[in-house]
Amino acid sequence: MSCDVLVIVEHNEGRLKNVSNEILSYFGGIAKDNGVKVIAFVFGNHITEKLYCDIGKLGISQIVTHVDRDLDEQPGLIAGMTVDLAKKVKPKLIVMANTVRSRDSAPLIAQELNIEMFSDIIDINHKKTVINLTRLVYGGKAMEKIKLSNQQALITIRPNALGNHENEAFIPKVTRFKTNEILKTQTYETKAKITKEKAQKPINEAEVIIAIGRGIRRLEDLNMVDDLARVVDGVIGSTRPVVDMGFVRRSHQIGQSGRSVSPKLAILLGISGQIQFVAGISKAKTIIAVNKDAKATIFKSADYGVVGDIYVITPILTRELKKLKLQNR
Amino acid sequence: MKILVLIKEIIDTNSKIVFDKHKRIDESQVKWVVNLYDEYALEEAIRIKEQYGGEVVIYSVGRDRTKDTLNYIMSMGADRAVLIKSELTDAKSTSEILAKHISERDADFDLILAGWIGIDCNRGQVPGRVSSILEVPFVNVIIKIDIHGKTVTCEKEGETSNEIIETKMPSLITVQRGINEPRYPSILSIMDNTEKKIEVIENVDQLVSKQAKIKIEPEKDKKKTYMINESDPELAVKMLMKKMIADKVM
Repeated sequence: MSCDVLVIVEHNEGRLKNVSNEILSYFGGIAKDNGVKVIAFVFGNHITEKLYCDIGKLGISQIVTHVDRDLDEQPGLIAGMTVDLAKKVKPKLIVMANTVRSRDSAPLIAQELNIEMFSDIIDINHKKTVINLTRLVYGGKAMEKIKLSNQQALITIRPNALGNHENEAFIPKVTRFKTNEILKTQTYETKAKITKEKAQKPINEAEVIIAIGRGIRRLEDLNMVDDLARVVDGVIGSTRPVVDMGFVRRSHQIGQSGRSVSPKLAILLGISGQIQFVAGISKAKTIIAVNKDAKATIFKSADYGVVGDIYVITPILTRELKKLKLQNR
Repeated sequence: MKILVLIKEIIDTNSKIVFDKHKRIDESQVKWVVNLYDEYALEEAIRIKEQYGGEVVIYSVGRDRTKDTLNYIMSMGADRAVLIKSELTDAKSTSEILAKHISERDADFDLILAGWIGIDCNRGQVPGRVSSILEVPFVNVIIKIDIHGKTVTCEKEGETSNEIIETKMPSLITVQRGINEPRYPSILSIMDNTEKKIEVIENVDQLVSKQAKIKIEPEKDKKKTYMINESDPELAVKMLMKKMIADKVM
């Protein structure tokens, strides 16, 4: 068994993560158009026939699976398994999602296999013989263009970057893979998990983000933002000062010292537009900014700018979006 | 206790980045600083040393000018620094250079601390790769460190939940913002150039074959903003909704 592209699949208890859906649907298309051989690697707990079917629907015909009920998802274990599989199937390209979990194991895999790695890819163009990749550097002020011709490499792909593609469905061939390979010297012990009050979607995987800035004055005022988030099924993020005030979790900070995000829609409330923040949000597909200062720099990065008080505009916007949602039902 | 801290000198991403006519970054016009996350790592190392004693050693791969940056940052309280001069800048080469010189000089380390990512190139690779070569556990994105003997308890920041992790020395731990507030280097120490021990090593750069081709380009897409500046908020929102529906955003 061998392949050109090995995709490491991420799922939540058997439900395919959207970012993996995007990656698999992209490579499903490439498999058909360019005759590239793709294998999806699935591992962990709660793996069902349905998960295999869902992957097949995206145009993937080959799945390798490692079922382990008690898999401790730490970097040394995931890396050990993946390296073992990669040595057997010899892919040109290993593709992972740019999530916290993958960012732990990806550098270990790349080093063990002695290959280059390119993280947080926002665009990929897979031609027959060359692969062009794009990523952002220097706080979003520059783009790094990478051209892979014959080199083996590992890439991690930013959620919401590739979009979902329709492909001809397959009934995939599923091969069981058994390995006890772990990077023994690299393991540690996970003692406990602390789940936060509200289990929200990770901000970098959200399709809609409501981001708040210093225009928000009190913690109670977040209720208004919550209402809007509920209507558009969005996740709340913020600038650094709002995190420092303790209104929003640090893992939901957007910007250079926080997360870089690429949602389909970002609604920015009371954000002035510091470059550090803009660096993290500039790849959103559509940006709506609301700010009472008509000269706020954030308007330069927005597709739609509304000059006005967020305390007045937000409830009206929530009401109107709710109306629209009911109409479209 | 011997704690090594990996420090990367980076282009200050807050400064304007100028491209020359060959579309390369004009390095003469940028400011060089220490990667923000590495400052948290150094601060944490110094705090551990203050509590348990030992030595804090900085390792950095850079150029001639990096010495000035290290000089400044050492004034936070590091004991010595090793600057490895190399022309190679890719993550894999950098990691191999660091690991090689660490093995030669300070293989008896208890901990290696580093920032979890460099805010310039946004790669997040070097610490993991170094841990892989040195064969020590890689404990990534940590916001709290507690030490009991040779055991280190860490709180790891996750996306939906945090984890408590126990690892044994030696380990490589990367830190995230929130772990501490770095102190300012002492002015007296910055001005005193005599006391700092920076060992400068010329690396024998190996030719790297079969590397991917990389080009840096200025980010170009400037947006055209549809601005709504109406005194009536109801009207403003109506205009926004209408335009977004027409643009098929909604």
